[in-house]
Amino acid sequence: MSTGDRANSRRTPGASATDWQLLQSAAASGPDARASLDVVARRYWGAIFAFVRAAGVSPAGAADLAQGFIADVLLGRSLLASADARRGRFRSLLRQSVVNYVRDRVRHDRSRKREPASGPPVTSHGTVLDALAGHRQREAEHAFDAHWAAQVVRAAAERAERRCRLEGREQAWAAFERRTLRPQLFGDTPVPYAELVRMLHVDSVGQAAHLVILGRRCFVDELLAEVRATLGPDESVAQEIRELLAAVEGPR
Amino acid sequence: MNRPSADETAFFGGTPQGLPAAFHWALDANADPSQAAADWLSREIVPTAPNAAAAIASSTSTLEQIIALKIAFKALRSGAVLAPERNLAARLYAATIAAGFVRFGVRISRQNDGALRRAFSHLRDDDRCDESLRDLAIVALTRLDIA
Repeated sequence: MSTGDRANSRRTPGASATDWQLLQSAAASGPDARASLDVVARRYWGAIFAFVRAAGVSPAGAADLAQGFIADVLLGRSLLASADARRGRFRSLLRQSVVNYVRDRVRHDRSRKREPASGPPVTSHGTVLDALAGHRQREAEHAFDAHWAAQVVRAAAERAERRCRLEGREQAWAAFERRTLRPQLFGDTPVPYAELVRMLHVDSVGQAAHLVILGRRCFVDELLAEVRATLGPDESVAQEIRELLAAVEGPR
Repeated sequence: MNRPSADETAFFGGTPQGLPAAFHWALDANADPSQAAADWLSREIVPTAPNAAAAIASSTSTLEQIIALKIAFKALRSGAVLAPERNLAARLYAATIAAGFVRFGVRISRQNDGALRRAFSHLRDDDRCDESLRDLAIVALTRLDIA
């Protein structure tokens, strides 16, 4: 892919490259802002939903809360307007915003519960969220981070596949996807090397293995780019990767 | 905004078990991309080996695996953009030829003696290379001189 192609792919809101620039675009006015907002909301929906579910809210209640957060905080633009790379990791900023939002909703629900019987009814998630403290919050934050990590991997895979196609490395992507990526992520059986050699029309296992690794390198390059794009200038990429790794490995 | 579908909010098919590998690769590549690529390549061919040096020097690696490693490192060297990666791949390539010589008594390269002597000497003298590979180069040079 040429430098120009890379730049264009990152400017396209439909692409998975959500980063500080995309967040700024979403926070701005203009024709691209709406598309950028949709990309941002879609990208982070899963992590927000996972947080609320892990906080003990029913699926329907969690969907309402996630939708509410996106409408009130993300689309309300207060968060996006304050999203600045100098503030550090966007993951931390978003997660804390979700924590604050859920706490505000808990307080709001409590105040409604204290209203007289003739007042508005208590929402279905109110009592569950009362317990959002201590270990419950840590579980919810862990769920958020795990889902965030999964989204980073998925976005990196999409970007890497697109890049391999643009650079004429379809064989490398096919080799990596069949031999490594799908088995790792979806539990597929890895394609045996003898079959891979035939599939790729190469002469040897050594050549096929090299193609697998070329595909993996492309994927890892994009994974690192995805991670970097959410960090401030002074943040450590390695530290962020270690935290994402801890999130997907779960408690030991 | 429309709500994403359930599929979009799920992990990969609901099974995140394979995700840690991706982040381990990222950590490896972030620390040393050249070494990471060489080690990954080696583990594709010798799955029990922890790294490239172990794959080449292990007494359990077969001749077929050594030949596959040689082909793979040659391809890695050819495709390398940066000098450190090209140099590492070249050393590992030479080490596989040395392993064929020393462990199996087989010449797995069509290079002439002079070219092999140079490649083994570079490997022997490169103190960034694993000791086990430099030892292979020393023995291979001796065998080359005897032959």
